[in-house]
Amino acid sequence: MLPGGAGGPLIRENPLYGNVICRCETITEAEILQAIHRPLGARSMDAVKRRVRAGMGRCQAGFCGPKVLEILARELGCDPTQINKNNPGSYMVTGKTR
Amino acid sequence: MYCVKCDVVVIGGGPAGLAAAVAAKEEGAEKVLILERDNALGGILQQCIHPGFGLTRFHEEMTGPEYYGRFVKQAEELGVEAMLNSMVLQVDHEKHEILCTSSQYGLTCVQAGSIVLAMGCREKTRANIMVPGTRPAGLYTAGAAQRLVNRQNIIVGRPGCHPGFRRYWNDYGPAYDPGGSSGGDGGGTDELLGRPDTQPGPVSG
Repeated sequence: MLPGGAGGPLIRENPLYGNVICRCETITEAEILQAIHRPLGARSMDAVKRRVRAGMGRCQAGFCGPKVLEILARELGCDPTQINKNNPGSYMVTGKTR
Repeated sequence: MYCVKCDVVVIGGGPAGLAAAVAAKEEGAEKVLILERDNALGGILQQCIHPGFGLTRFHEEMTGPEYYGRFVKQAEELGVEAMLNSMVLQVDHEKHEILCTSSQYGLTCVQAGSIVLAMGCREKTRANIMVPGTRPAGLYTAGAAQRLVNRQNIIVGRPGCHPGFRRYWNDYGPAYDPGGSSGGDGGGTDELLGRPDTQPGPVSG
């Protein structure tokens, strides 16, 4: 998120720039999508964190963790249970309650 | 830029923000606006599905959603307005101006007679409670785990380390077969992290 009012035109172009996912570092949904879909895109929670800082702030992903997990699963077309924190096998969650 | 003017702006639509907005209306403020980051009012109570709320204020015991439901109804009846999915970026104390952002309205400037901050708190992290090392996968703060289970319907694993959450899980969590021997209290970390019979996930970045 750009400081002050400088982000306005960006949000008009792509409304996802207006949707802040990581509140501590002010990282928007559009930035997270870029991190996932760019060349050598992010495939895990820490990969997103290293690329755009979502989850790197004061709450250490307490608030944005569940949201980033949801976004990753949606964008990669897989189940949240398939998403790793970092290394293969470091799963975040184990299943659905219903 | 989209601009809004109102008498009282409340930042945060949780129980504190809702109570503040209702009080402002009752005291005669004309236009009261709540700025809420989430897609619904209620704040953390949306995931507090256990009872124990309302004893002091309403003299009856209810769950979190029941408790904030009363406030939301009260606020609606009084004509409190709310902007959801909106995050405040800046508060200018001198000009009484707030800059917030949302996908729907883009950047929005809110001018207010009074500003109430009711944003709650953040949970303590691993570093805050002086646990050395790094956080392994599958370890959550209570609130993050509660959100995943109660709002996103995701099982984060078997409760292992935190006795309070284990009890919470047993009382309010989904029916879950702990797999025989590990049903007792005081499960180790391998119980929390272990997950047999899983398919390999996407390659890590």
